[in-house]
Amino acid sequence: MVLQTTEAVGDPMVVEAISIASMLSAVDGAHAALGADLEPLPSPLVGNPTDEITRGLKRRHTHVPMPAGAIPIALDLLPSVGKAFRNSFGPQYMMEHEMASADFDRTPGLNRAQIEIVSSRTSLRNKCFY
Amino acid sequence: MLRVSALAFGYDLNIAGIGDPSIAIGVPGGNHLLALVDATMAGSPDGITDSQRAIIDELGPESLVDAASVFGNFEMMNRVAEGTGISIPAQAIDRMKDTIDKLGIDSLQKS
Repeated sequence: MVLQTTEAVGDPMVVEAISIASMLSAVDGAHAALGADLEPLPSPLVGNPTDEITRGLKRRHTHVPMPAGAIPIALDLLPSVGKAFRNSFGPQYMMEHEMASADFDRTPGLNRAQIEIVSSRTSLRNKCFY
Repeated sequence: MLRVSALAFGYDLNIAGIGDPSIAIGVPGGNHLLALVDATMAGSPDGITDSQRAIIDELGPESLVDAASVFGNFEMMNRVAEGTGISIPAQAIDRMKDTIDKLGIDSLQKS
């Protein structure tokens, strides 16, 4: 399905669509788990697309072109989108220096084992092997 | 990673609890965290409220904010992974084989 869409509209539009759906789901998901009302969608801004697209990337058995590496670079076909994605998951999950520590403990708050219980169950329920 | 972090804290983790939240997972507040994820995904206001109360009582209000934040983050990460089709290195899958078998998630690799 994703590959068919890239053929129809091009890789950049698909990466943008993935980024919007995924990043908004982070906002909605946190609100839902807190029992808070969802935020209304903002109004679209006026202006042209930036046309900032990373050239020379290729598919790596993936649906869209990306650099070699793990999930933090998955949206780097669009540099500003990739940056926004990376900036968002650290504060919501763990910062890079925290990931290096198996006994990371956010006091007050969850420790790493507890954080990974939430992430593991969420991924399992979403049927996401990654 | 969960196994390593549980070991670091000296918890007697039962990884099967990730697949079946009726099983005691062996991490403080862990089953309340599982219940929050399930209730939120089910859109169950009562379930959300019950699990929120349990988390606040056992782990504190900051932990509820953390849990909601991590849940939201993985709603995002899962969609990025599935949408972009990024795969897991074969070596990592080999390393996790025992956990994959215990959770019965082998079929998800192909989905």
